[in-house]
Amino acid sequence: MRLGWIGSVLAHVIMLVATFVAWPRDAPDLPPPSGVVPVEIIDKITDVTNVTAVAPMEPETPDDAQVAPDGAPQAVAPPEPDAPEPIADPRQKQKKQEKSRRVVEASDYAGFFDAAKKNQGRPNPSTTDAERGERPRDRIGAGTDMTMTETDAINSHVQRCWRAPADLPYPERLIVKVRIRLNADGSLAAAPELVSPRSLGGVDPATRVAAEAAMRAVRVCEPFPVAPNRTERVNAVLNFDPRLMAGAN
Amino acid sequence: MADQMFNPNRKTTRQTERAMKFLQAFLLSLAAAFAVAAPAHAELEIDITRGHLNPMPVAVPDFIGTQAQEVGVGKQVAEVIRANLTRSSLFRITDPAAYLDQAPDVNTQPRFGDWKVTQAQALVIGQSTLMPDGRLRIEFRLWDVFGESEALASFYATTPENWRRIAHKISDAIYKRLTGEEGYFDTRVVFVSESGPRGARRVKQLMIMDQDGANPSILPTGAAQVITPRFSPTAQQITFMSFETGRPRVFLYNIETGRREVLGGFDGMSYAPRFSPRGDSVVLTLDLGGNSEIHRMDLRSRSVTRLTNNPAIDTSPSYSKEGDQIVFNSDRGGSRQIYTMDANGGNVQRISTGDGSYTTPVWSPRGDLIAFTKQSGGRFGIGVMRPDGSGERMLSESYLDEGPTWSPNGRVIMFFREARPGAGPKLWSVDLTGQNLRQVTTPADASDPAWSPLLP
Repeated sequence: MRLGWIGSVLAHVIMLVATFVAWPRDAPDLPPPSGVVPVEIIDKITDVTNVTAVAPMEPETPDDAQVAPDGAPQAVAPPEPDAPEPIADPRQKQKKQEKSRRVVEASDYAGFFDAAKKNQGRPNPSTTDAERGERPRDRIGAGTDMTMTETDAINSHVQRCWRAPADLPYPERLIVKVRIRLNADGSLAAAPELVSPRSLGGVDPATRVAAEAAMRAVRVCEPFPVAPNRTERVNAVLNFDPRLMAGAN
Repeated sequence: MADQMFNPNRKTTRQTERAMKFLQAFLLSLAAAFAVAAPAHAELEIDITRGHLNPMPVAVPDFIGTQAQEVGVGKQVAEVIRANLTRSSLFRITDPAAYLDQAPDVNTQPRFGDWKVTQAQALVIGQSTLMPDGRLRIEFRLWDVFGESEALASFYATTPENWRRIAHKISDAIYKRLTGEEGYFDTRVVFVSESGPRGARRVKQLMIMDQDGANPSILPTGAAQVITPRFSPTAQQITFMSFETGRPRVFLYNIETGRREVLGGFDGMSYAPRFSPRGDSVVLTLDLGGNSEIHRMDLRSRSVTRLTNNPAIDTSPSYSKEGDQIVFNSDRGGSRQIYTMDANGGNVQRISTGDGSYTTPVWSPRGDLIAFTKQSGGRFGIGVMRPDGSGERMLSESYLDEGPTWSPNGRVIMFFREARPGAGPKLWSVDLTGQNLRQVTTPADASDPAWSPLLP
């Protein structure tokens, strides 16, 4: 009994002493960081980046015209007299397209896209990518995912179109998911699709009203704000959740 | 021998190889399945947790008609619908001047593009027709403008002088389809109409009118002073208190038949009656020997059960939606506060906790709130709280706001207000937002409103 007690105390003391013992580190000291390391936050792990490029790799290529900000005058070199106009035409065509679609007020989302627009100019040669903390990158993959800037803009946009069903009791039954497919210009590529509830048949009247309000919000909201340099279609599921607004009315 | 020795091992190796191959194939196919399924799972979700609460824009052009009378009725019906929807504060009628599309009849699909321009999200197209038998047929279609689909279609037939009822029924149908809740437009309100000099000679008689103030008429309930009318939640029947026999007594009155009777031949005073949710019993206060207690009377057997037993004044009982609880007013704690109890009188709990004095509690027909009158700092207001006493908020306040009554869908409260001393009481309504306060037009001064259930 006593032996066991003494053994236990000894064992504890040995363990305590052992915590003060350390082996010398065999890893050499790391050099101090030389600059800001650009970090891209992504919401899932895949082999390839699937977001639209924030800025083009070659800013002076004719493709630049596709991402020209509205109303920003650009110095266009006069074409050679005998040369065809391969550069001017697509640019005018693009501008015509810009006018023809109902673009969401630029002022509404100016803040969101400021960063993207800034990057469309010539990069400052005196600063390196690492120093700027952001580097232009080309898209790899389908480009059907949204940037965080786009999701924020769409969230803010849809909030203004959605008449939330805040008057109805038991808001947990009023959560509605709608899949949207957008063209590169932010217009709906297809009719919004109800994901949850799967259909309007057989649901209670309040859920049906909530689902219709969500679908109506999507239709009223068209066109959606997408990045000016987007060239691909994009899909997303909008999750309309009125629980935070319950009792607000 | 050696072969024999090794044979079993060889067999095992072969089996292992086969198993490994199978496992490999299985894992490969699993990986392939995940690879195919991955894009679907990877779809980006955007949480929309904030929306606006602005009224929904609705277009209600005048209903179509061919004969002059049809056109006239169609215009009136549309006007009543527009007024109902606007008054609810959940809808905004878009400017009729912007209506480009003129549908030739109710069965033609509207040109949605023209209506989208007006910003209207819902569209009501109706038509009135005089039938050969002299009756009026009114049909309508409710369209989802941006969904480009029909949301509702219905028709009603009645005698031409009943057109207002149809307008209210259509309003209720639209309200229910677009909000998910029952409407409250095809309802009536009974109230005490007051006229003459103030004081004992003031004439107080019961009147009934549509919820929008139309068609007011006097209820022939007798010549004596009457107060506190209360509607049955299930029938066109009211209770009220009358001084006809010299002392206050509770009467039961059928609006359809005009039949009137005294409830119980009690020795003392009886007052503050209110129906149970099923309409088969009444809770009321009986003053027996100077002590007011709450009693329940079964309307079929007329048997009376005492529910409270306290020397303080217990009054203003009101049933919960399910009929399993009663909210009432008592000064047993020193000041007038709101209490709840089980329907058999047990489990009494005080639920009001704020400063001031709380009276006339009324349980919402929806069951989620209790409306009350609160007196504080020399002013009176109408407020609501949850049945456990939490979430108290005031919806109105003035020199004197009193006597709340709920719309049958539990979204609007009507009460009477005396804006300043001697101003005379008027009826007002406010919804649960507290933002939609409106005066209800009555022929004379009015107090003690009681809202009916939806008409059959």
